[in-house]
Amino acid sequence: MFGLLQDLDLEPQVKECHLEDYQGAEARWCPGCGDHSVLSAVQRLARDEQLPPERTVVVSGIGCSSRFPHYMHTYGFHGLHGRAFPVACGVRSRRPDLHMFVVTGDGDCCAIGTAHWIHAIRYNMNFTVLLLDNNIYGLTKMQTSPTTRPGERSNTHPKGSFFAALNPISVTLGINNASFVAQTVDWNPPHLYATIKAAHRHQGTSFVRVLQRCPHFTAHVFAPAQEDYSRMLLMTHPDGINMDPAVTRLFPNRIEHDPSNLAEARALADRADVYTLGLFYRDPEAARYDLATAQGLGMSSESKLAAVEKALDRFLV
Amino acid sequence: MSAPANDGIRLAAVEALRAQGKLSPSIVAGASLASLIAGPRKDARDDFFASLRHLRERMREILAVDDSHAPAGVLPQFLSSAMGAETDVFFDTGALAQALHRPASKAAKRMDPVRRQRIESSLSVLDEFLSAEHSPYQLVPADGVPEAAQLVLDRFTRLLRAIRTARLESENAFDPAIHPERLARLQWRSATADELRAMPMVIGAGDVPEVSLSAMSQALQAGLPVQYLLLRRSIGVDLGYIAVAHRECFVMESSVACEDHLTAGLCAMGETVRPAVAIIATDPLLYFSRAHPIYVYNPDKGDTWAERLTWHAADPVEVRFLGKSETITPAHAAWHGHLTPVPPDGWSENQIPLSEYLDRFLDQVKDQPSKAVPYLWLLDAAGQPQRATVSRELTMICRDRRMAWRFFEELAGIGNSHVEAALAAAREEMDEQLAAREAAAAESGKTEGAAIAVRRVVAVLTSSSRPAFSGNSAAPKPVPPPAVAAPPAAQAAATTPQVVVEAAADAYIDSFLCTSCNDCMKVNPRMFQYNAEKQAYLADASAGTYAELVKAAEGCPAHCIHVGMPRPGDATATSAVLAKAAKLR
Repeated sequence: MFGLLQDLDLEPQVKECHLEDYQGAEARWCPGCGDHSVLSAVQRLARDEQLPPERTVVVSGIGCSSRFPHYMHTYGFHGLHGRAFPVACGVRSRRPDLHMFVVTGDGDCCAIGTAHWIHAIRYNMNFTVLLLDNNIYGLTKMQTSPTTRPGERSNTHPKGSFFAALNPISVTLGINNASFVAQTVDWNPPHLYATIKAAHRHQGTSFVRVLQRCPHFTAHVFAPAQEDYSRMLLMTHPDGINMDPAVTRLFPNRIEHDPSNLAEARALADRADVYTLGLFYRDPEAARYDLATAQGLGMSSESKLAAVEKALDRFLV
Repeated sequence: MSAPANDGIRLAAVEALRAQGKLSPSIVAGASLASLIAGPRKDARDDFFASLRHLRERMREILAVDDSHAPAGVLPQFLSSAMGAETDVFFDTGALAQALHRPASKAAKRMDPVRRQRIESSLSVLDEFLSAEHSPYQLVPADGVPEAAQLVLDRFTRLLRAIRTARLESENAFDPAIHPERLARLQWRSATADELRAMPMVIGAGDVPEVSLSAMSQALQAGLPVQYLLLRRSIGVDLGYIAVAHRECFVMESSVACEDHLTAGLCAMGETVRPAVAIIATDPLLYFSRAHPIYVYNPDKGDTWAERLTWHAADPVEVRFLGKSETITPAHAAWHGHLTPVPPDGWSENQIPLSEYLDRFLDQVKDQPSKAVPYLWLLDAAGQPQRATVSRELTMICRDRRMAWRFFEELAGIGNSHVEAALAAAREEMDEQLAAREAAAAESGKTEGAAIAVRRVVAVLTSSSRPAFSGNSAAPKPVPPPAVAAPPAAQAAATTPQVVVEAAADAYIDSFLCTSCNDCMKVNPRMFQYNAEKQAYLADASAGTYAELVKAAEGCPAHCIHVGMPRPGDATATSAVLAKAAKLR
């Protein structure tokens, strides 16, 4: 209302949260691991957006990256291998009020969890997916993952992987009802932060692939791009990922890309000569399944029972 | 002036409009218009009810927890009913009751009875509200709006208190020292806009002439969240303008002949929580004749007239019949008893069509030429076209509507007299400036001419050399310096100083690029530390060796550590280390 009488005093007090309020257990990832970068970006975002820790949940599967919930001082669910998405969809269906991050890895999401990944993107429920892609199974000590480059040696392919690597961005852009698809890197924190922020603000499933090195097994894969920013291509657009112009200037190669253009997004995602960073695609109008699955939250036990009885009565003969 | 009876005649222009299907009778039911207003609030209402049900569940949960702490909470009957009667077949609730039994000294702590009573009373208000039937709106006679609104607002305030109490209780944040007093002072005005949108709407319906101005004015001035839906069937007082004069109310005037405007306007009316007035002309002729203005005045849009008033421009409607054309005027909507048919042998040049008469004499009421007489075309009982002169009274009404139209246009920024006056003043000022400049130029031309003449005379008198007769060459032109072609490189050096980028001597970290990966901490946790953003900075460069600094910089994935030069006397700065460091400065 436009009057002066407000009843702000009658609102429950809101506590101001600091970075420490989001820091859980001490992170046990190896020094130099890209996961640290994502963790601190998410913690900074939570602090800047003042997400109440008791209203925030991080869901993960299995893998190095999936230790993420332990290091956030929020609610968390360290799930089964490949099953971060089903848990996340379940939580979202009953708790539409929570801020949710789903953290998964290239093995967890793109190998054993592929079916759930595909359908979670289709369902377009409101959460932020962070795919921490280091191109290797790190936790189990260097086995080929779906995103391992051809020729890369690993314990399962000592003479080099001979499959073409799966491109999670291309796959996601090929799924019906995808609503937010972006890519970033762990070694540029401002872009990483801006991407996660845009993803969190998007209403629907925001899929963010974070390219990141494993300091032990795949440091050499991303080292050229870390040293030479001309190996990356930054997508810019007023509707895309917006950050400080000074950081944008670090990237010598830039391209204007409208995130509503799906065909161009797919072409950019398929480029093999550079790492394309930024927002590939966004569709704010995509249908959200959680709007249907979160119905009836305020129903009492009696009214639920009555509804079940009524539904069963339809089958009376 | 007594006007003759006009039985059996019809207006030719109106018949032509009817033939075009523009006057098809529209059914204007107050209820259907009211449901249009209430439409946009459905989502807000649904959300509000869902949040109330959620709150009610929370209150019930809190009470249930307290119930389970009661001594009776561990009795077999209670456990049995809590677990479901079917479980008795395979589960011994008696054994569980024994296991859960506590002596009185260690009984679970019960809720404070005052708090429990507070929760129960909030719950009963929520229950009562949720179990009652709710219509999205309440249609009352326009004059009964203040009383009906008061009743609804009183109930709403009571509900608001219960909501605030329940919300504080669900967060366990109710402070008996502060909140009871604040709750007692709570008014409906403290509600959020979303809550007000969820409140049942009070819509006062009626006809324009029947509305009590003072009652409506009081409701509008008090800012009550009420809506007036008024129908205008004939020309009359500008009630819309009176409502606009309350300044902070939503006001719209529309017509059933202008459906898009009507629907959009009513939807906008449903979205505002201000007092709102809609005046709808039910006779399409009022719209076609421009007797009824069409606009939306929405204070939610901004603070200026230009932002608030959206004017629906309508051109005069001209119709053709029997090879003649006529512009629709307000007289076409209110002609009964005001026309005098004139047979063809009585037609004269002094008789001019009404619209033309209005165009010509709109601003000249006092000096109205006595000879001109306005007329309209009508069809007599036999269907023959005839002229009919218009009474003075009706002509003055038409003039008044024209003036009103012009007045509303001016408010909407069309033909604004302030703007025109400002423009005229600005133009006059510019003309004056231009004239002054021209005069000055002419004056300076005269002086310059005189100066040239004097110079000529002086030149002739003082020298035999030929004088220069250049117009403005009082001073000799400077001789240009000899053109020496400088080499391009030297020119560039002169204009742009050479920038030499030198590596910084001191080590530093671009903290905003740090990925917080702990790699540098592993090398030396005293040299590198995290700032408030959890990004590394060089806490103490002297806490470690130059070799450690170089090693950390080499391993940094973001390459944000710049090593600088070694401190004097650092034995670790060997040639191998310095070679690595060269790439890291």
